[in-house]
Amino acid sequence: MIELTNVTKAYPNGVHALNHVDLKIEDGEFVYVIGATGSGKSTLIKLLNGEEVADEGTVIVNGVNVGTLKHRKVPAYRRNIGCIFQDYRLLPKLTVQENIAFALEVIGMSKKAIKNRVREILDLVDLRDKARSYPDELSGGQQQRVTIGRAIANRPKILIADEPTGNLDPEKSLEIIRLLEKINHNFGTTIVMVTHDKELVDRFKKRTIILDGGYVIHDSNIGGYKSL
Amino acid sequence: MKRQLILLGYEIKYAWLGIRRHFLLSLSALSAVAIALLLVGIFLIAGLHIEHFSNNVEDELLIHVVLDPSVVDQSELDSIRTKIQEIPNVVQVDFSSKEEELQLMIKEKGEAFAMYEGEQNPLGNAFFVSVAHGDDLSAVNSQIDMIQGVSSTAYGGISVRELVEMLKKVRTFAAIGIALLLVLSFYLIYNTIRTTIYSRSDDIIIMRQVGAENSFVKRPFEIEGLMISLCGALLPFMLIWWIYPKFYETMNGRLFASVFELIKPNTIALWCFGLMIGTAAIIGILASFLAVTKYLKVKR
Repeated sequence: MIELTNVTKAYPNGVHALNHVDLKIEDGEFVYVIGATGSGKSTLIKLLNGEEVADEGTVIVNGVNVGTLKHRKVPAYRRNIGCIFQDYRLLPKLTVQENIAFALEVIGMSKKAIKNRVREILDLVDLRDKARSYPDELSGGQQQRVTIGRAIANRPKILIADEPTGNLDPEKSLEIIRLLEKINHNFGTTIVMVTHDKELVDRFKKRTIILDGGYVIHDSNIGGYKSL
Repeated sequence: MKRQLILLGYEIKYAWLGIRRHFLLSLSALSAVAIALLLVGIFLIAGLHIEHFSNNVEDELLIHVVLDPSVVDQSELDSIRTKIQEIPNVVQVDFSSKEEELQLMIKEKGEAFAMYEGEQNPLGNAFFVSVAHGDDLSAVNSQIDMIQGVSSTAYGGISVRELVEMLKKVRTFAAIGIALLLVLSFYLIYNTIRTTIYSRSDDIIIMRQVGAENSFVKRPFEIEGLMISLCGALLPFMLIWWIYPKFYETMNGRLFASVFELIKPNTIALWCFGLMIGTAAIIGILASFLAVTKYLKVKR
């Protein structure tokens, strides 16, 4: 579960990214976070993955108070949070299977266990035939599926998707959202997806949180832009 | 422990990938280390030999005093011995009979002199006089020369000693040059690691994102520096290991018209291996550790 209580975050340049935010996301939920540029979406993601610490209030994720987490405990904490990004952030010199294996190697998993897990993931993201391809040989949609594969390789409880369809055409975007739904349904992974894609939000109705100027101005289970 | 070993395996893998990715940069650092350490190796061999020669010269502070062939009477011999012993700085006087002198000559110049054995031996009796220091040789020698009954005196080592002194001066200048080269190698490895860190900033972000511990992020860079420097050391070591025995064999184990004895190849190999690999390891670890500490800040 994710629970933000009265969270405020300001940067040294004086920008107040988040103001007195209260938010609760239950295990297994699929939530859209939408808002204009500078609304505080990125800061929310940074607070959740432990990159930033709130100035005020508490951020509790899976029972862990992220703000008081010691530096040396951050890596272990992050293994329970998968992240995917608009720009994919794949390692260009590694193949698809090596990119996925990378997330497992850093935690010291044995080669044999990695091999089995990577095979499962490749099947899930439907990229088995591309296992030995390099990122620059793949389409945008395929690259994003590799990123998703890498993010869920550790079987995290929470998956944060930062504009995952931002660089994709509508057809590929549909593929990605379906894949995220599948992960959410099959593994009970909580999904927090930051997006600008109105069409997707309208078509796949989920709980929708809207941020504006660092405030939560809308939080509805009805979903979709049209419901606003 | 098992997990740490598994992690180490992956860290080595990513260090190798780092070298491959910046192959030319790594190669330039490796070449600098190799050249510096080749010079270190040559300098070491020269230094070991200078030390070896110096010791040999110190061991040979002897004056060979040859007496007139007519001096055969024991009382005459005793008288000359006493006079020599009274000269300041003389440590020891050993008698060498004319038969022993002939055996020395046969040993030194060949079996042809064996024909003089027996009654036909034309040599005189002799003394071997030890002095305390090399500096005393000349003065003691002059005084012995004036004793009646002494035919000739000889001592080796003046030219050798001068050569050794000259080599010692060369050694000082060489040491300065080598030190500069080692600093250059250090800087090149430092720079390679710094560039690698910059160019892999995306990888580092991803590593942190997927939960890599700081040690896992840092260690591949440190291993990379170590690998570069060790490979840089291995090349000149192999070269010396290959060339020195051939040189030793060609020279028949001696140098400068057989004046000096060369050090055995196995001893040289052991010294070179220890010093070159040790120096490389220190340079590699230190340079990469400093680069990582400065340019790879610990973040949340």
